Amino acid sequence: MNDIKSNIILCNQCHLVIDLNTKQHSVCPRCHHKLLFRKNKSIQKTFALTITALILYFPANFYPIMIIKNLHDTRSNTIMSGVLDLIHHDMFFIGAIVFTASIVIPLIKIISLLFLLYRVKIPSKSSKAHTTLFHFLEFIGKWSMLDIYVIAVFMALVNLGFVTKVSTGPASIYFTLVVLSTLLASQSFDSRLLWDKTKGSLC
Amino acid sequence: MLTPPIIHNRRQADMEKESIFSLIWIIPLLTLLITGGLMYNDYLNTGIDITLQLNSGEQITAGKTTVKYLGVVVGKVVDVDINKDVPTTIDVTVRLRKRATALAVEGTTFWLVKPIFSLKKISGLETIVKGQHIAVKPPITNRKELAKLKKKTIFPCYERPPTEEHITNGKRIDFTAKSKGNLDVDSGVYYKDIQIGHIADYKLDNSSKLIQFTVVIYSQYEQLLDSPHLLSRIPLSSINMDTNGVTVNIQNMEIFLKGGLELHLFPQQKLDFPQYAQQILYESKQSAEDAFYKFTNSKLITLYSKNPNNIQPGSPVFFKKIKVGEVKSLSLAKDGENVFIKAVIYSKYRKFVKNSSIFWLQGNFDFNIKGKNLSVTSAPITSIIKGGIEFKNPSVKIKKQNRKLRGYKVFNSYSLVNSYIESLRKGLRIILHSPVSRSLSSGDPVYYRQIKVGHVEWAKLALNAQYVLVQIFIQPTYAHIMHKKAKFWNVGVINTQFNLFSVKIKTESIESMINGGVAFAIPTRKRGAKAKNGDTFHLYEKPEKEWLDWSPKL
Repeated sequence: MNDIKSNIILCNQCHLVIDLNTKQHSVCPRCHHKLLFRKNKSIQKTFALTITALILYFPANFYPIMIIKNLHDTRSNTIMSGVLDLIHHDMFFIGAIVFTASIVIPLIKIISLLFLLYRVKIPSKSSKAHTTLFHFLEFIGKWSMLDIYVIAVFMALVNLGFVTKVSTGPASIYFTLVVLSTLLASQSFDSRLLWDKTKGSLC
Repeated sequence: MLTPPIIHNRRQADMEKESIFSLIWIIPLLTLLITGGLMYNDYLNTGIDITLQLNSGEQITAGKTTVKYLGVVVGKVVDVDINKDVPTTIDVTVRLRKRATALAVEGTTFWLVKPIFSLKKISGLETIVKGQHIAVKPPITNRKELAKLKKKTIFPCYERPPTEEHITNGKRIDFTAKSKGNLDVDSGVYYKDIQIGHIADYKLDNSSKLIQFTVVIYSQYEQLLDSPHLLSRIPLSSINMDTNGVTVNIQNMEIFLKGGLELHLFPQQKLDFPQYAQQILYESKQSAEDAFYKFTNSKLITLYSKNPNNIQPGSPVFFKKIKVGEVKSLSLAKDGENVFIKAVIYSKYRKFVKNSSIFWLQGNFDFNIKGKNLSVTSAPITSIIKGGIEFKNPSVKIKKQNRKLRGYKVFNSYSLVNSYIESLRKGLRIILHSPVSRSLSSGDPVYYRQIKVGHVEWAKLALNAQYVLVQIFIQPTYAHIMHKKAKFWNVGVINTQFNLFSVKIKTESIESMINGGVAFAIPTRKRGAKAKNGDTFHLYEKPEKEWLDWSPKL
């Protein structure tokens, strides 16, 4: 038994629960949003945005993300070389944070989203764990912008005019887009889909 | 109980699954296209990294300084660092664009483009605004042939542009000069005041310490180089002094500012002209012409002199007051007494130098007293300053010269030459004894009846120091006059006779007044046998009266 079978719909906009058995609605009576049992084209949207993130993930790691210009010297760092630089300067903790936030987390997000989509198609018994994973992804998603914030703060702090200048590299745009598309992907994912095909429904 | 609306809603919910394609797929497609396109473009533009080696990294900024070929950016400096092995060298890493990778071959030159401000030229102005850039020039322009050349990744980067590239169809000639002077890249080469080429490059040769110039002669003038030619500097101004007056020439402003070279042709000369002679820059037209004669079948002669005065390399050699050669070098002889003078006689004149030629130093004033005339001869002004050597071929036959020193003796004055020539004649040599030298010296005349018949060859102290020996020479034509009873007296002193009524001043000639001399008389009778070489006579201070009346028929 689920919402579709019992014909009770949740407005995706204002979260009003509407019983369609008593009165038929095509829009939400409270916020006039179009009523749908599941988010519109959720799987396709999520899948497409995850693929986008995956595509963008490569240039994000390949191109330099930060360019530091001295009087005579210009150094450009990719995310990985930045991490290695930090480790080289014995800043293991910060290095580890940047590594996790910038490389591991986006990758985990992409893989997890793909895994969840796979699980929607081919359900397993551990749908509860999948839901937990999804909520974890939603939570952690914001933190992947950390790297961009680091660069933004760094730029503001270290810009000493002509002496030293920090600017963003092309990878920063790619990276931002990776984060954005994973955020949008997880947003357009309807976690209820995980339960729809589960045999031996809880309700 | 199911109602139609529910079915409608259900259908809507089901339809979601049915739709295979949603517009959302445009996003990953666009992303793929854009990202892929950008990355592919980047891949196209990322060529290879090459290293340029410089002495200074000034004005070169990684990520900013560009490498340009024909004004188009073909690469960018990505790193500037000190060379690992040589700390004085700066390694500039340049990332060449993909299409420009063909430039990274053997023979390609890189140089820094800087602004140049000079009177002669203003160039590279764009670098003031845009910063310096590095220019590149491949050895050849054909792409296929470029690909065949050996690949290379480390290049030196020059401070100055290499030879001008815009004239490729001219003929290049190289030559050396002792100094750069006012010449510079772009100085013109002129022939009859028409520019036929320009200096393309110069550099200091470390081993020879000479400046090596490369000149491009434009293709339409190339055939000028077929005939023997020499290059000389164009003097900025020249002053000519001749019988027509004084001419002052000042070159036009362009040559004045840029300096220039002049091409001299010797078209009528079909002589074999050594290649090395054409590879020298001559200081003036004159020296170029001299060099031409010098190098074409000229004659090298060796002279020696005890005291070469102001003779120096370059001093002219004259024959009948015409320059026929010049002194090349001076060196000290082994005996330490003499100085060897090597001189060249230009091919044109080589036949005038004979074994019997006699050389003497010019540059002095020569007083010549012949008969009653006093003449003063001076050498050309140049010889007085630079020194000069003149020679002549005496008409008399001359015995072989002193061959011990293997060369021609150089006399210090023309009068010595004359007496030397005289001494070589087959005349009569006799010796006079005198208690004092009576100021006689070599060359002083010997008179008979106030006619010069010979001269003093030398005067010296006898071995026992009892008297002075004076050897005199009587010219062959007069040799038969001399007899054993001849009386000799000195005419160097003015004879003054005082008596009650008059003062008589008597002398042989003006010449004897200045130089002194010897006169003699032969007795009318009892004159004895004819004198032979080496006979000795007494030299009196003054003649006895009767001597002057003697008048033998001889």
